[in-house]
Amino acid sequence: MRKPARRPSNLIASVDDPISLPMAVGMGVQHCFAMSSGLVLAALIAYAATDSVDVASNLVRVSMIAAGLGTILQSLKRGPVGSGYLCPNLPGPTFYPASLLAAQTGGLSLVFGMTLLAGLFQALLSRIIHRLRALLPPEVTGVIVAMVGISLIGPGISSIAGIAPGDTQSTALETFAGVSTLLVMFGLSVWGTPFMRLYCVLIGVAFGYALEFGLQIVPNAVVDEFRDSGLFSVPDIGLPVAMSFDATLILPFLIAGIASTVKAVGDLSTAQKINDEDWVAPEMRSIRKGVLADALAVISSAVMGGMGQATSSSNLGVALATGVTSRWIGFSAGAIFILAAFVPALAHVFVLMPGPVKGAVLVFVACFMIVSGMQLVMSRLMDTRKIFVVGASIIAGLSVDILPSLYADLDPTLGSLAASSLSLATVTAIGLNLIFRIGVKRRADFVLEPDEDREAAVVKFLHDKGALWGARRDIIQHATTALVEFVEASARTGSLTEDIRIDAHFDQFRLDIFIHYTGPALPLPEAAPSLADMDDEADQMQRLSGFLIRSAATKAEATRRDNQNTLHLLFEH
Amino acid sequence: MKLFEMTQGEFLVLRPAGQLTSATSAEFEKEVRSRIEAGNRRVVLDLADLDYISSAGLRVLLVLAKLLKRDNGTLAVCAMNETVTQVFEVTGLSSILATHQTLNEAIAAE
Repeated sequence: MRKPARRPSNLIASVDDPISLPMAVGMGVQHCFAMSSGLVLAALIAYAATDSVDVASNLVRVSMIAAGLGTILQSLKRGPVGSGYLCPNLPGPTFYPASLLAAQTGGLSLVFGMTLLAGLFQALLSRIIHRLRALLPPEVTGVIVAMVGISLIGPGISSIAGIAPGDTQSTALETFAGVSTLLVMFGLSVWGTPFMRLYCVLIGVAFGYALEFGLQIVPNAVVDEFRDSGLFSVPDIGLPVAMSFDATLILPFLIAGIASTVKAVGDLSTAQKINDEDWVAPEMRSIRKGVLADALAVISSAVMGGMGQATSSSNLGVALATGVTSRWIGFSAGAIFILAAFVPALAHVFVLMPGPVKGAVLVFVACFMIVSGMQLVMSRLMDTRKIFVVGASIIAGLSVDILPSLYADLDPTLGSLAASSLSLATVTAIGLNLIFRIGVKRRADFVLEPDEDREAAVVKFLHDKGALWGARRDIIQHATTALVEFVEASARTGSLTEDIRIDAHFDQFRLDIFIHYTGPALPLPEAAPSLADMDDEADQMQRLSGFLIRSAATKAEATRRDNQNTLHLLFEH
Repeated sequence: MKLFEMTQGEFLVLRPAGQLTSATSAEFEKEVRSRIEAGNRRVVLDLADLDYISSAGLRVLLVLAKLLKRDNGTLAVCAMNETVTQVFEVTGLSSILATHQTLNEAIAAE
């Protein structure tokens, strides 16, 4: 039975709570700071295709508009789009490897075209995401999230060392500035006051800028660009923006779309969990609408001339740390981020950010993503199947970075699978998970005989099998409640003199129980009979039993042929 | 079924452990009835150790509540686990019986 969400006691304002305008603005600004960490990626992609500061600035500003729009759409509760949760967007790390490849091979027009394809693919995925749970268990999603973080290591570390396109020389001063900036972020995050922890990235970036200027390693051209950036201008929104397409990049971008969708499912599940003390499993209806909002953010970004978007895990951290998760903050943060895109000086903070400071931000973000992925992986008990899915896919992904020459001569289609470590790890994890599903389904049946203690027998059966199959305790408890109730009901109708056969099927996502019995069919009313008017009539008690069975299961269905009844109970796992 | 018993002032506190189903409800009803007939009119059922409750168990609680009401007594329940709380909520029993989070709250409120 799905209960209404129970508000956790640690929240000051939960998702449905209205908040004051000052709080909406204050919290909105905080979330904008967290969202801005992804803007470094947009700047890096732009510089892979062009040397123009104006073009890079515009890509960042358009990406800000798309992220703001996505954040607002995500907060919508009614209608077909939006999960109704505070779960802001940012230029997505999941799109970074594929977008970088596109920028290097075909320029920004190729980035926009392929991002549009990925967004449309995500929109399609949002329609069927509830049917894909079996393909994306936590060990697969965890590997993908961890590999997104791992894919940031290369650009992060080389930027810290001051290495960039056209500048392959690292200097000791640049490395010192990058490492110092990173250590300041770490220090603020670990030992800082709550205020410092919230703004550790922003304070770290400010420190990095100050150090770079102090050490006089910022090129004069950058200083001039900053001086010339205005306080207001309208970004150049394409409509229609120039787009191009490349068949060899379809796979990397589809994988980026899958990775973003997986990340959105994970982030939205976290948002649900933060807002419900009794949360046990994702509510897929709101997640479907949330993934669609995410897809629309990607599509709108591509159409306007921005980079791919994704939901932001670090913003969920901000929401949890502040104890304010009202969806109204999504509206304010989105609006503020869009307005900020009209201030070129703000975009220039990210566009002109010195390499070592950019690198520090990337490594800081990568730390969280890698550990979040590992936590997801370890949220389930590991068996040999899961060990190979996780281990082999990480090895495959890392081999792309460690031994790139292995994949250099592959056919272009096959080679696109190994376009990045994220790409190959994702394909390997999904593929191995599919293969290892063979034989994963468990089944057991038994017969309740007339002369045994049937209640004790069903309790023992379910508890023994539940332990053997690694089923969740609360699911076995619900199933036990339903079966004990059925035994009571069968005793009232006299079916106790007949055999009752029970089939149980289990995989990692559902427990199906089929009860085969003879005699009168048990009613399964949708509403509870009135207990206040209840006397000892067997008919009323049967209706109460049927209602309790229906309530305990996710779904209950009765079929009858001749005198034979089958009651199918589904418990989602 | 095990049934622990104690008194707090004028309250008789009974703490059943295990399951309250058709297998145990008749014995439970008999035990509680005997105490009511002995003159206890303020009864609190501490359900902290009750794993789950079936329709037969619900029926017994209703019968006992009616019995006490007839004799100007009260029946309150407290400290139910999540499974039992859900059953109380979906069946509407929580609006018929006085339910409380803890034993102390139950005694203070009654």
